[in-house]
Amino acid sequence: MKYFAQSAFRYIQRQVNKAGSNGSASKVMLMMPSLPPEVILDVGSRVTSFCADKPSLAIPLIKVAQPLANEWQSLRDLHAAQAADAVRDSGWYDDAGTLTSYRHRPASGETRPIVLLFGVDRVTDASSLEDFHHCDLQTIWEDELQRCFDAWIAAKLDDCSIGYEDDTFIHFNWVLLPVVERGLADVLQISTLLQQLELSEAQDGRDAEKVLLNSLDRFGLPPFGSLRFTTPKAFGAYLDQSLSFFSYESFMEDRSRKKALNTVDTFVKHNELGELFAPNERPKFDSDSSFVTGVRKYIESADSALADRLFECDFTTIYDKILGFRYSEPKERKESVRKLSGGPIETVLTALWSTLGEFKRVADKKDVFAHEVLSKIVIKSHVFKHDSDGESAEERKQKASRDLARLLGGVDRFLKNWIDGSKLCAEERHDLITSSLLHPDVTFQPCGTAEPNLQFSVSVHGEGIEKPVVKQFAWRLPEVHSYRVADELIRWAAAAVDASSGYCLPVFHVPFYEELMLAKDDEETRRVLLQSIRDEGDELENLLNASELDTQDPLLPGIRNLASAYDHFLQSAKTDGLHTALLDRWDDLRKACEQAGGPHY
Amino acid sequence: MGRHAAVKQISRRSVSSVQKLIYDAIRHPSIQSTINATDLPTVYREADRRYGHKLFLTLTKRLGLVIPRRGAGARFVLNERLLRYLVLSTIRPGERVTYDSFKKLLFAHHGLAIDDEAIGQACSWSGTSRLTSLGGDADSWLIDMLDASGMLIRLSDACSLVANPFDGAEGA
Repeated sequence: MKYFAQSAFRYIQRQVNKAGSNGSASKVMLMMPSLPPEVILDVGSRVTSFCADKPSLAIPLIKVAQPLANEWQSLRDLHAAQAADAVRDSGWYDDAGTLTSYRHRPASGETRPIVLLFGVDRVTDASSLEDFHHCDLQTIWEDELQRCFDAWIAAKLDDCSIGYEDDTFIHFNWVLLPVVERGLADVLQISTLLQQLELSEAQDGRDAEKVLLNSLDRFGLPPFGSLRFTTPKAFGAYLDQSLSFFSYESFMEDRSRKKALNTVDTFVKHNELGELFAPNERPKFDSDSSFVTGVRKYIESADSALADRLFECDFTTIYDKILGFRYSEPKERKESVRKLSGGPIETVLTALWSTLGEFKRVADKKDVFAHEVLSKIVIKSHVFKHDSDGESAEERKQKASRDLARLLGGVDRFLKNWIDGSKLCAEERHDLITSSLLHPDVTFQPCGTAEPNLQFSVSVHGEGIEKPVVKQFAWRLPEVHSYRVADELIRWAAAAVDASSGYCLPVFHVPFYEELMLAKDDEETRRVLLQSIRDEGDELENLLNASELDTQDPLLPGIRNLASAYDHFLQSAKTDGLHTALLDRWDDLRKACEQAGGPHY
Repeated sequence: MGRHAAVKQISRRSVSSVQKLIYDAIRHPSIQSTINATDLPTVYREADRRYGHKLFLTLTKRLGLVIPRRGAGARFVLNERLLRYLVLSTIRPGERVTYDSFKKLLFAHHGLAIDDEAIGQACSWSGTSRLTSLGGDADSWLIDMLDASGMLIRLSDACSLVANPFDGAEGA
């Protein structure tokens, strides 16, 4: 109990110093309750030495209440009897039988007298000692220790020359505080525990924590060596469970007993016993099987001999691994559909990247290099959930089919042409990517009030990998999707240009210009633009129909050529999709544009 | 340091120990041998309810000796009615005993642990370590209750008497 004695002495020392700091030579009177003999002897000796070192302090008057000293003498305990003798020899024995008389001890000269009385709870004149400073367990716990054991833990670890971190203090406290709070030990016993903790084999703070967790048997607790420190209250829960387990409180009810037995049976059924538990987790059992059987039998019969054997085993293991075992049938992983936004190329590339990542994880698990085994990538659309309107289902489907053709026209070709397979895999494969986003087997479904989307999958095949890695995606296509708005713009422009007579170099009018400028975000801009197209979709001015146009202008043929190329581009984009137009018509348009600019362009 | 919480926990463990004691008692091998093995679960389910630990819990809760009436954490407590009964049943009418003797009588007659010393012993009886100290004032609540009931005579700050105020004359 030396750590408690140290703290008690430090507290007394602070009181003495505090009393001396105001310059007065007044008497310092302290009283303590009944404490174990070794604590009293230790505190008394420390106070005596302290006073001897300070010239301003008189030799302290230390007295132990007569009933307490007599009790030590009467105990059949050699240690206590020796302590009683030591008290007598030191002159601390209260011969008078009343502690009150010592309060009147006069001061001698310039020195400050100190009166320290022990066992005041055993005397009949305790109320006469009201003006003494109470130095009881509560005071030391609250004022000196600040309601934690940090000082003692540091002292112990320093005594044993063990390196530690801040976590060590926290974890020690997480163990010791619940023990005290549950009345399983008092601070004096914690002091003894720390003093006697065998840390000679501990290398660091973590080792010390393990030793502590395995040394709580003196408080009627099993070892908790494999405990993982997670929260301050976690250990308290284990404490409660261990007390309920060994008192059989957990299993006295039929229902709870049956439940526990079922859990053990399930554990046995779904685990291969053999090397499931470390031998130090079940020191009193030869094998995993006998250990689990022991737990089961104890739950069933409350066998006290088994309880004694289990008490030596790691309770965290019993509670977490066996009693806390939960088995659930492995569920078929539901394939989720990941929703993607953006243009078609961006969306497909994102999906491809994500699937390749998954493929790499699978390849890593099989200990092969992903790029070496990659053999084929298939991109395929499945369902188009559309918002096309029409009189009949067939009409809606046909309209949706046309919309999809415009949205995806050319995309498959684009992907095939521009994704370099040689960079993806070790061997050069020209036919690595097969993209079938636009094909006749796509299922068309009206989306109702939901957001329209195109569901497609990316499958990555690998040599030696039995099942291809397949991921499902949905390309989000809300009405104001930028790509759909672009499609509307193209159709508007194409129709307007087509309707104009002769060559057409168009200027388009946007009716809600102010609203467009005031739109707070991108989505609102697109919404206003869509409204503009639908409201006044035929607002177009043909510059080549200008009244004062010089028909002899040398630049006019080039401009007409440009107008024609632009018309072809728009018509192609309108019919076959933007990407088809970009692949097939862009070069002509670009050249026409260059030629129209003349030699200086 | 949280002494009252500690005493509460000790009290809970004490209830649990008493229940286990009864549970084990009716499962003594000599009793079990008289029951058909196939009937054991049914018989003991009934026995626990009618004669065993469940009856103990039901009765003590009805008396107010164990709270709460529903839910987990059953623990022993003393209310004023029970204390009055304890005084009447422990001290002869009109007589008085010292407070320390009263506590010893309560422990001897009813097995009630009140002060640090007895609670410390109760801990070891419940299967945990014997506490050195609960701070020295674990029984202060009893002094207050006796005083409030008019059954405590304070002679000095450290010596009090507990009196049975009913001398029997009133009933005669």
